[in-house]
Amino acid sequence: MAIEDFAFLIPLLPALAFVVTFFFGKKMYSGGALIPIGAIALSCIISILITINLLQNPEEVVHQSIHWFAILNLGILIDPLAAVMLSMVTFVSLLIHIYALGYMSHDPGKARYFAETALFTAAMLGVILSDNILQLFICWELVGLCSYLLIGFWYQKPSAAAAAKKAFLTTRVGDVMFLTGIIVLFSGIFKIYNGNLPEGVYVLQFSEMFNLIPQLSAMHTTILGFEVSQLTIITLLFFGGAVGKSGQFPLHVWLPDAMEGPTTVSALIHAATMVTAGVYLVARTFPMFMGAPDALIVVAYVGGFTALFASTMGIVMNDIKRVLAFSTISQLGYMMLGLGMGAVVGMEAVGVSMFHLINHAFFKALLFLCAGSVIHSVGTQDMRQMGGVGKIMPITFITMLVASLALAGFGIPGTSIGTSGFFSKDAIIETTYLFAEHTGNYIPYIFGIVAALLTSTYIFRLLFMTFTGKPRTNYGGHESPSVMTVPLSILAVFALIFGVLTQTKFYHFLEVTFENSFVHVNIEHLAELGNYDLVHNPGHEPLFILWLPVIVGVAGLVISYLIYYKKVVDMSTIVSRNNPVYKLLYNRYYQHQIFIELIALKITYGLSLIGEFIDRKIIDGIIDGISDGTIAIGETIRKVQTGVVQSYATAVIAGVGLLIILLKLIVEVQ
Amino acid sequence: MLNKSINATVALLFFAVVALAVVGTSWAVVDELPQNVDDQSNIEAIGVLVFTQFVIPFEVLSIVLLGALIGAIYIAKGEVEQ
Amino acid sequence: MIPLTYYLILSTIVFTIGLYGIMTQRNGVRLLMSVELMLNAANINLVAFSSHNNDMSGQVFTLFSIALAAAEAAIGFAILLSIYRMRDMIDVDNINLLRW
Repeated sequence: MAIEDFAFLIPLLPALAFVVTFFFGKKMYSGGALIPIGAIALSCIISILITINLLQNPEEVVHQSIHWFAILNLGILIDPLAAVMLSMVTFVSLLIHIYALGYMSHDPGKARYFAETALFTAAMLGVILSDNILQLFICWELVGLCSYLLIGFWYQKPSAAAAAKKAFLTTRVGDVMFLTGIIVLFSGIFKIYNGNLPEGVYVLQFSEMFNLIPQLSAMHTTILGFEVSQLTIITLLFFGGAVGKSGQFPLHVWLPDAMEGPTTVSALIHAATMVTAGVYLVARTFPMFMGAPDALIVVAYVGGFTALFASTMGIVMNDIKRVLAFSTISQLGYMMLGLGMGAVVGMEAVGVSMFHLINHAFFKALLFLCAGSVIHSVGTQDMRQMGGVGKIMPITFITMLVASLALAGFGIPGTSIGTSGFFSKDAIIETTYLFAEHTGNYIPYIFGIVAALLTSTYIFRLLFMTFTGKPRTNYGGHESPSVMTVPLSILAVFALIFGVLTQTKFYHFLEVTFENSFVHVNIEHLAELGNYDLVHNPGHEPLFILWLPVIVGVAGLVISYLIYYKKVVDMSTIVSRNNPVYKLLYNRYYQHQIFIELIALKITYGLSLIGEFIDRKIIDGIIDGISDGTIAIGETIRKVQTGVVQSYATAVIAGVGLLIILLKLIVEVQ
Repeated sequence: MLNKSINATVALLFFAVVALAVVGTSWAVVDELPQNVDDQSNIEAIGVLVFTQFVIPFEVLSIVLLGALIGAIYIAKGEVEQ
Repeated sequence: MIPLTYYLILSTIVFTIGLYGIMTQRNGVRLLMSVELMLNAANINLVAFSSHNNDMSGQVFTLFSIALAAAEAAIGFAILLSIYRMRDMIDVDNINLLRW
């Protein structure tokens, strides 16, 4: 039998491992960890074999489907896009599981941990393998659930429980948009077929969806007088789901808090795999984005802004994991920016963006695992208490250095020498330059290049503060066991050379994602529908543009070196000198402190003094009257928050009723 | 009493919105149903469907029901008596 | 033949009654009954559309959803039973142990 026949085992094995580990793990060796590791190793082997087959023959995608009911099916689709994601997810997941053997060895909840990560892996593989949008959505929700469970893994800690709740509720906003998108899509399809859905055709399968793009694009809805294409609404709603899952602005707030979970969870879910599900969703439905006017531009702007916005935050954080969290948000912004550049480069955008996704998975997982290794040894996450860790943890230091170089994108343009991040991030920045040259709109390019400078600055700041200099506190510590350092070394090798080995081949492989035996779309034709002017045979960019990303990368390194290693500029003086830029960043990230110190202490205290003064002058009766009135109002308002679910339900129903009336008034469907 | 009247108002608002939507929509339906005058029952057709086209959901459902049954017994049973 | 709209209005009425029950009742058993009413309103819709589109699968779905409702009711009542055993009442207003 061919290996393709076993494709269904890829998500099934981790799912079975979840069941076994969950029920019987406690009684087994090391919490039953070996079962998920074995299952994921098998999935990884199958995925890589299928990917190798697919590399020979990109037209022959693996597609299996069984009837579920009515117009829905259960199906597996492995095309080039899914194949690279599958291999990456199973491989990174396998290494992180092995690493977790060491990292979680002292935790009493090991069995639960391994069961939940196995379920997460199964769900994520389900997202990747789905051949229809509804199945993708179901797995998508399952992934969200696992994320919630794992962020709140140490549920005894109130901060972890709060972070889990925040993550769940924030991503829910995106998920509701995604679901609404599916509903709008389905009602559009229903209208196209005039209510008679054909027998034996699964309309929510990607191939069917893509076939109907021209008809969907022709439908229009009027919102507040603006005529909007139905396809634009659908794709933007899908993108809303991606924004929630991938932590794009403005739904990024949950990702830094998600670092309350174990570091391995941060590495697996909130850096390498789950957060890329949003990028994957956009890439998966890319033909629809291509056919929708303005959708890709929105994607590009949101992505570019997020890349810049998050990297400014990364510079001022002191918690080692939070720096990495903001870095993840920023890099996800780059991927979205890359996808948005489909407006000028067409299918190549998917290749560029996915290439960065894969490379990012390697080096960001590595960064997190190194941080975990340091935390495991030092016992704190605060970089101000570290320093000089490089001397006692040489392997961790070297692997972290490799990952940082990859993140900052060091390499020599024009040659094939460079870290993986160099090939992928610079490719994105170059496409934004192409976009700028072609449309005269330089904003995405500026976002990208400034974010690159900040990226390099914050990552080397982290490196210098943690690994060099003298220990700032007496922490003790030792190098981690080999079960942790071996996965680090493997990932470091990939972070270093993956880009060199695969770059051009990768693009060609992904460019044919939507031209195969399962789905065949004409991107050129779709670009006309979406009013995108594609550039053919772009000329070479000026040498300066090619070098600029590397130059800003080195500049970031030098800035960090001078400030945090040589201490040319003392950070404390910058803060006390009221440097406006630093102040701005500082205010943004220590909001609650500002609230407490400025508003609570100064202003409120001042007001209290005045209040006391007035109190002495004004008759007690008035004061009593005011206080009685305040208490009465408070009592009345308090009743709104009764905690009785039924009153909330009443409010929800009333809200939905009014919302429908409002929608009826402003939206006119043609 | 105030509470109940608020609830009743909200319920009526909901009813009005949905009922208006129902009346205001033109439903595309099959007008002439091919009906068998002698045998109005559709049980046979449902039975055939359940065991052919929908056999997988049917089997899954049986497992779900079994799970719910065990869960219900476990929750309701209370303390185990020694 | 009865027009489709009549079925839909009937189901809306049943649903609204269930909704009103959910909003006003405090007794656990009555709440569960209201939930069942709302679920059955959806079932009426399924059967109505199924019959009017001459597509049997809607009626099969109804069977499934009734079976699932049975499972849900069984669990619901089991929970109520164990609450009753602990607290000697099933008034939902007083079951606020999990409130933060």
